[in-house]
Amino acid sequence: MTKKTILSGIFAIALVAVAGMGINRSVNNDANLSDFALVNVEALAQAETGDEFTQKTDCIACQRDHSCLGKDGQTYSWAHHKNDPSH
Amino acid sequence: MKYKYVYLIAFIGCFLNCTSKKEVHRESVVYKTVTDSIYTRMPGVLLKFGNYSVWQDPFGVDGFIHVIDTKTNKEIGVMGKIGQGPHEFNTPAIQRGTGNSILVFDLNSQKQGIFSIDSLKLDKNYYTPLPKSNNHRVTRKIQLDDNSILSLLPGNSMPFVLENNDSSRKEFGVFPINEQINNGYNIFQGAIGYNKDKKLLIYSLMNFFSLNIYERSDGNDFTLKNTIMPNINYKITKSELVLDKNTQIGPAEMTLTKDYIVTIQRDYEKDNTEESSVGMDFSKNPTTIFLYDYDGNLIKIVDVGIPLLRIAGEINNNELFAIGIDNEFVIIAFGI
Repeated sequence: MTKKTILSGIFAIALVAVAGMGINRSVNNDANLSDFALVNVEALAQAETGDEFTQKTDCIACQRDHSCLGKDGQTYSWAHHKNDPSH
Repeated sequence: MKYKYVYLIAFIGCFLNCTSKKEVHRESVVYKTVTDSIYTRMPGVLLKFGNYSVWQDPFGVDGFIHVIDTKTNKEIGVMGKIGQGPHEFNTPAIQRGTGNSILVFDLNSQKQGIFSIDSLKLDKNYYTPLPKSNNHRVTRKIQLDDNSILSLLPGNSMPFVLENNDSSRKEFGVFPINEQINNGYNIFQGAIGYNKDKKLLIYSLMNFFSLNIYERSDGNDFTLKNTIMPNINYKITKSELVLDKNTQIGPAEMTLTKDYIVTIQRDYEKDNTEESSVGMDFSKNPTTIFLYDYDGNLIKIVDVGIPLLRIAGEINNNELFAIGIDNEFVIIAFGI
């Protein structure tokens, strides 16, 4: 096995590893974002029993077209903040 | 002597006119049920496009915009998916676009686009993406015309941002309570609507009653024409506005028709349901709509006879669609 062949092999393995990392990161991001979207949907589905949603976000699902800025940095629709003095 | 009587009569007439409380006209209306096939835990936004009724399903991962032909009472199709794809939205908010189109923007990204009902009917590609826009802290967004989109940002120093196709951007407007506060995002959320025939922009707040009417002059200049608002008691604590606990809540829903600004509001003279007891119990929702003229005067209160969740009109007629609760969610239609 020549020195050239060994170097080409190392380069190919590195390339596959880097590409793999990128794919993995991309998949994880999608998973997180999908989870986030479902959190909003699930919070609405659970309505007043969405304790977990409120603990995580400080938002409470409501029937008004109101948005809530969650403490996790995301905005949730059909929800209001638990400290909103008008609710 | 003769003049004394004239003066006396004139004085009494003026006195009575100035002191008598104007009676609000009340009436009821008979509605027609369009469909009871609203299969969701809670319908979101309702829109009216001629004979087409559009309702949002906030849980509709595989389709959050439902289009119903109210002539046949059949659903003609479903649009919009929740997700990360190029034509998908994570946290979609829907409002009226121009013509038979629906403006959709994402509360958590810069994504926005137009869904066309006409294209859906023709089984064509119904989605057109719009240039990215900063949707952070935007709670409502409407298309004023093909060239401009208006956003409501209740946490900003000014409520409105107008963006044009030529990338120009303009902030304008005033909040009905003029205080430097940190919780404006929660306090000043509300509904916005635009009557292009009258060139009037209406901003109705949700957390307390405040109807703000802006007039558009030629171009992109808007002037506050009128604000209808009772005295609101509040205090400022740690830079946050706290409403008095006795403050009456504002309308949850507002729509525009040819002659009226229409809100879903409880008629407290006839219905003393405690608002704090309503929560997600839709059966306790108001059964009444309030009709204001475009100067903000309350003209009449109409009892629809069914608890109401959503309301939708359009500016070329006085016909309304609503989502009511009759054991289950129903879309109803009636004229005012």
